[in-house]
Amino acid sequence: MDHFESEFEDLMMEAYGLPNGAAKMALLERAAELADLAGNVEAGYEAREEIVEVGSFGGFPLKAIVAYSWQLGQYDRNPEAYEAHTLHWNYKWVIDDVPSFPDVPAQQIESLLEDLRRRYQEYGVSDRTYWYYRFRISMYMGDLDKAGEYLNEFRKLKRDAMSDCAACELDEQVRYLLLTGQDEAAVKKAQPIVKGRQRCAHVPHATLPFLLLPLHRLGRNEEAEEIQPKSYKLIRDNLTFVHEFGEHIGYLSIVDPQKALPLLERHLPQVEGHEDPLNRMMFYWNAAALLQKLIRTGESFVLNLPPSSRFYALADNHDELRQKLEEEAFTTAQALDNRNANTYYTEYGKELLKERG
Amino acid sequence: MPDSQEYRFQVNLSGMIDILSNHLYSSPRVFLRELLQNATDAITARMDLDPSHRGEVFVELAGHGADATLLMQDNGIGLTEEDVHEFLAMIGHSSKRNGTELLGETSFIGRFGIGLLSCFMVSDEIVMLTQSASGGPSIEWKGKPDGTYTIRKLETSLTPGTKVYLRCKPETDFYFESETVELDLLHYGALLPYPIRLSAEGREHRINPEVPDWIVRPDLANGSPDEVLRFGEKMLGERFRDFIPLRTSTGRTGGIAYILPHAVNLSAKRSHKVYLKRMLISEQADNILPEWAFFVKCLIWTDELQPTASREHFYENEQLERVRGELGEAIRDALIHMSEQDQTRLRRIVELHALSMKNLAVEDDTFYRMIHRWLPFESTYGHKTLGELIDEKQTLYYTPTLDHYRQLRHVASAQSMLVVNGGYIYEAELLESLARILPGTDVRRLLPEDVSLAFTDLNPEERSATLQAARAADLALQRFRCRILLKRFKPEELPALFTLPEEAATLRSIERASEESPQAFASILGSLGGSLQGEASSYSILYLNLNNPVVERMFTGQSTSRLSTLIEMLYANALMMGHYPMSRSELALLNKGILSLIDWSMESEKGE
Repeated sequence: MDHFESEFEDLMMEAYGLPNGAAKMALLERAAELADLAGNVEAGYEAREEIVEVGSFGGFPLKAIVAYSWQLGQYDRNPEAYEAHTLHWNYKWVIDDVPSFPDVPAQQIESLLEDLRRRYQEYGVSDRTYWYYRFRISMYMGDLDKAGEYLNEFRKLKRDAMSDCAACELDEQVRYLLLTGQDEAAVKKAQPIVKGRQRCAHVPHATLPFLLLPLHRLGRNEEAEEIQPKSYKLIRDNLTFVHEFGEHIGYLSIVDPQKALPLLERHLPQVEGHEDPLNRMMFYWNAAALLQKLIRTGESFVLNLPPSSRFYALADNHDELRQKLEEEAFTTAQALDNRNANTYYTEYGKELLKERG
Repeated sequence: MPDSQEYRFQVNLSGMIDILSNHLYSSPRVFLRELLQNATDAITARMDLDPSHRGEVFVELAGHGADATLLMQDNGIGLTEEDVHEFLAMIGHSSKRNGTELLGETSFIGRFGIGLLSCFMVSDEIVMLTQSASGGPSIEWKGKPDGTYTIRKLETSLTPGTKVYLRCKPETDFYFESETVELDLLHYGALLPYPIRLSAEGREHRINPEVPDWIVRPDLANGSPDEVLRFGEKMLGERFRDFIPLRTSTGRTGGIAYILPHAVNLSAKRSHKVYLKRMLISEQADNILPEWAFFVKCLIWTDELQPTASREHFYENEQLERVRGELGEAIRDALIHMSEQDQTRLRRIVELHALSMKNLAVEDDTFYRMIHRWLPFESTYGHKTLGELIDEKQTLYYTPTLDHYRQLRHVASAQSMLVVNGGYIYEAELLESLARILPGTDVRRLLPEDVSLAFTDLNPEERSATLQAARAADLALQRFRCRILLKRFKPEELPALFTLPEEAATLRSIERASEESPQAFASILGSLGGSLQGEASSYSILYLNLNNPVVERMFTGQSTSRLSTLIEMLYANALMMGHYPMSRSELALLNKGILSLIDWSMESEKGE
C-alpha cells in the first residue's frame, strides 16, 4: 500500500471513531486535502461524504455545502462511479441549511429546490420530499402561509425511499404549529414524541426544547420542569443543536435565570464559531434575553468566558455584552429579512426579547 | 405402585425449548449455568431458614461420548410435591403466551422450572430427585421434551436437596466432556461462596477457589494488591498492574476495576465480567459503567440489578443508571485521590490512556479540573504534561490544527514562543476551555497570522529601499488573493511563510469546489464566497523573510523583470511546504516557473 493510501485510511479510521464535531471535521478535512494532493478523486469523494454528514450534524453547514457541491460535480461527471442513494439522501441535509445564509438570494434557493426535484424525479421518487422541503424552507424563510400550502401538498403523497423518518416529519409539523401560535395543538401533536413512541437520532432532541415555553405558557409548569433537564442532557454535547441551546436559556431565563448561566458560559464560545448564521442569531437573542432579565431584576452574577472568546473583554460588562449580542442578532435578522422580502425575523427577535428578557 | 402417576404438561414443550435455544440463550452451554443457578437459589433459600447451613454443589460425570450422563446435586432447600406441581403449572400457564412471562420470572419456583427446561437443549430426558428440607416424602420427577412427565413419591427418604440427572442427547456430547464442564462451572460459579466439586474420570476436586474477602468488601482490596492482581489475571485473562476498588452507596454492588495495561480504541467493546448474586451473568456487560470508563476492565458483583430474560444482560432502567453513575464516581474519586496522594501512579495511568481521558475531560469540567496537570501535550518545548507547561508561566499558545502547528513550529521555536499542538483529537477544545477551569491562565489560540506579531518590521530605510519591488510582488499575487508582507524573522533559512486566515481558508475551499460543481450549486457557492471577498481577512498572506539571503537579494538588489515569476514560485513552494492543496491555476505556476528557470539557466550558459 502506498504512503497516501495508508495515511488516508488511518485518518478516516480515526475519524470514524469520533463523535461529530470539530475534532472529527479536522481529520476529515485533512483526509480530503490529502486525497486532493494525491489527485485521488474517489478518496476525495469518500472523505467529503463524511464531511457532509459531520458538517450537517456537527455545526459546520458551510463546509457541508462546499463539500456536497464538489461531490455532486463529480457524480454528474461520472454517475456510475458513485453510490446514488446516499448522495441523493444527503441533498436534503444540504438544502435544509442553505436558507440560513442570508447571502444566498431567494432565487438561488428556488433553483436549488427545482434542481432537487429534477434529480429526485430522475432517481425515481415522488415529489413528496420536494414538497416537504419546500414546507420546511418556507418556514425558515418566514413565509408561514406558503409553508401551510406546501404542508398540504406533501401530506397528499405516499412515503418513499427519500422520505425523512416519521419522527422527523412529526417534529416539523409540531414546529409549524408552534410557529403559527398554536401552542396547545403543538403540545398535543408532540405527545408521541414526548412519550418516546416516535424517536430517531434527532427526535426528541430537536423537539423537546421548543416545548418548554409553550408548556410554561399553557400553565403546565411541572411538565416543563420535568422535561428540561432530560432534554438538555440529550443535546448538550452536540453542536447541531445551537438553536435548541438557546431555547433552554430562554426558558430558564423566565423560570430560573441563574440556572441558565452555566449554559451560556458553556455554549457561547462554541456558538460564536458556529457556521450557521440563523441558528447563531437565535442563540444570541436568547443569550441577550437572559442578560437583560438578570440586569433588569438586579440579580448579581458573574460570567466566566474563556480568553479565546470574542466576547471575553465584555464578560464583566454585562449590559454591553447584551447590546453586542442583540446587535449582531438583529444585523443577521435584517439581512435574512432583506433576502426573504419580509420582516419576519426582526419581529421575531423583538417578540422574543419582550417575552424572555 | 399407587404412588406413580403419569401426567402431561398441557403445553407445547418443543416450542418452549425452541424459544429457549434459538431466541433466548446465546448457546446451549448455558444449561449448566441454569442448573448451577437452581442449586444456588436452593442453597440460599435453605440458608435463609438456617444460617448455619453450609452449602455444597456436587457434579458428577459418568460414561463417554453418546452415553455420557451428568449429575448435579445440591444440598439446598429441595422441593415439595406442591412445589413441583407449581412450577409445572407455571410453565403450562406461560407457554400459552409465548413463554415470555416465565422467562422474566424472578420467584424461586418459577426460575427453577425454566432452569430445568433449559436442560432439554442437551438432554432428551431429565430425572430429578428432590427432598424438601421442610419434610414430606422424597419426590422423583422424570420429564421428556414431548411434554410427558411422571411424578413418583419415593419410599426411602433422601437427605434434603435436589439431584438432577441428564443423559446426553445426540450431538451434544461436547457439553458433557469434563474439560468443558470444569471450565463452565468455574466460569459461572467462580464467586460462589461455597464449594463446587466435580467428579470425573475417577478423580474428584474442588472447582472454585475460596472467595477472597476483598471481593465482598472492596475497601479491603488495597491491603493485598498482589493477590488482587493475580485474581484479576486469572479471571479476566490479562496481566494488570493497577486497580481501583468499586462500591455503590447501597453496598449492593461492588468489585474491582482493573486498569487496562494497554491503550484501547475509543470505540472498542467494553467487556466487564458481572456477577449477579454471585453467579456470572455477563462477560460483555457494556452498560454497567459510564461510556468514558474505557480504560478499565471490571469484575463486578451486584444483587440490585434486574437481569434480562436471558440472564445475559441487565435491563436499562433507573436502577442501572444509578449504579452506573456511582461506579463511575468511585473511579473518579480514586483518580482524584491519586492526584493528591500518588502522582507517579496517576501519571502512569494517564500516559497509557491519554486519549480517553482527554475525551472525558472535554465533557466533564470536574474531571478536567482534577486531571489537567497530567494530560500530555506536544509543544515547542517538547512533549510535556499540561501541568509542566503551565508551570512555565508563559503565555500558552495553541494551534487549532496539526497543519498550523507544523507550519508554525519552526518559526515559533526560533522565537521561543510556547506553542502547543492542539491539532489532535480533543486537544484544541481542552486548551480552549483551560481558562474556564483554571481562571487566570493565559491561553491563546494561535493562528498563522498571529506569529507575525513576533516578526520584526523593516526600518524606514529598508522600507523605502524595498517599496518598489514589494509593490511588484504584491501585484504578482493579486489574482490569488494573496498579499505579501516583508519582515525579518527567524529562522533565516525560511524564505517565506504562507498564512491563511480562516475566512481566506474558507474562500479557498469554496473556490476550489466551485471549479467542480454543477450550476445550481456553483451559483450558491458564488454567493457564499462573494460575501467573504469584501473583507481584508479574506486575503492570505505570504510573509517574506528579509533575513533570508535569497529574499534579500530579490528585494534589495537591482530590480529584475523576473521578480514576478520568482515570487510566484516562492508562493507555490510555500503552499506545498504548508501542505495546502492547490487549485489548477496554482499548479500551473509551478510548471511555468520551472520552465522559466530552465530557460534562464540555458540563456546564462549561452552568455558565458
